[in-house]
Amino acid sequence: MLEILLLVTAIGAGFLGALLGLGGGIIIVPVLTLLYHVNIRYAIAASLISIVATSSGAAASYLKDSLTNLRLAVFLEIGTVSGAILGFLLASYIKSQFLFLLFGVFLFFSAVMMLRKREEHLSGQNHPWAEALKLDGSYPDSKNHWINYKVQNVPLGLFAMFGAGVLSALLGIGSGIFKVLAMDGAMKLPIKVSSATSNFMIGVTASASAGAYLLRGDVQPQIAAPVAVGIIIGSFLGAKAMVRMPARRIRQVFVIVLSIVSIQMIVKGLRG
Amino acid sequence: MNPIEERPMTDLHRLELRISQLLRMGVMVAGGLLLVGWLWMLFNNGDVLATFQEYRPQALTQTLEWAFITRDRALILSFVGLLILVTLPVVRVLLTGILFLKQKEYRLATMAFLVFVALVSSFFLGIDL
Repeated sequence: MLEILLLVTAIGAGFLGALLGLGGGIIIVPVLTLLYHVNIRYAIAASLISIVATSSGAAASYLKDSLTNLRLAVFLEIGTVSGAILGFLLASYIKSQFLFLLFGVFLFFSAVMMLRKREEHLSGQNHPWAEALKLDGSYPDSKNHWINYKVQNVPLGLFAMFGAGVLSALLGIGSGIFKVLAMDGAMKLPIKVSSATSNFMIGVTASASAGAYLLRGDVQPQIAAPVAVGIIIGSFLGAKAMVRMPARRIRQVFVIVLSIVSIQMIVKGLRG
Repeated sequence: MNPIEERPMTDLHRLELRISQLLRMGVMVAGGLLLVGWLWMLFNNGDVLATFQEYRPQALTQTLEWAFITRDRALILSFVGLLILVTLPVVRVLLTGILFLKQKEYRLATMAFLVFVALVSSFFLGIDL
């Protein structure tokens, strides 16, 4: 019965994730550990599998809108994938209690970030690396006018991606929040471009650690299967419903939920 | 912000889109296998979720070996689904690398292959740890 319930919960998580533009990881790891009392290591591994599934399924639709910067994605994946490898290696030396603590802090940070207003800071100049690799590009705005953009602070962006990769493998999240922060914050990319490119990269980042966890035996199909299938179905439904729902309201409610869950995770980490 | 006429997709972009559509099919196949495998396991063994409160590491190779001995087809099916799923992005990176190579974008091709090698080696880190 619990496993069936887990499938239903995962559909809900996928639905909510798609509405809010989040990966499922931020929802599914707390649900698995706090509600279903699954060990956090199994929860993280199962979450990564579901992230790979949703982002691989969605990549085509991001590309269709011409918002994804493919060249930049490949370049930054060097950072995220090497970060993910380090994160996977670190995870075996970190106590589960500390994983709860770290996750709690991450949730709190995400809640704060969700309240932040994202502003465009377009730059007129390319960083030399961006010039050499032709990382700049253009994207269509809502009126189908093409807007050119340049790419700044490439080394800082790459370094931030490395950090995002570490966190992704360690906590079982897509760490889209950090990717977006690096891209529109540091590299001065347009918001739409950084969101699309981040989503495009998440699957590759997550697959590095998901594959490693799978071979190590941390992925339990009895958990990962209902979670992945549920999230695939849920995010599909969420994408369909997105147009008809007041995303801002949901966002505000979700920030509160996120803060409460963050405290619970931290408490669990402190109690051990 | 200069308005320019509608642009066609670049070749690179179009081919990458086709790769992504293939990936989506892969996700469907893997998801289907996972669903069937999971329901089958549920039918065979009942609900085992409560047994995962404690972390008991067991390498995938051991689990699979045992699954083959006991002919646990449901478990094998689920793992096939999982393996397909995690290799999809790796295949994507490889194909993207080949695309860049064909476009004579050697630097970006090298980067894509670098990511590919890193991904493959990260998988093997899961063994013997």
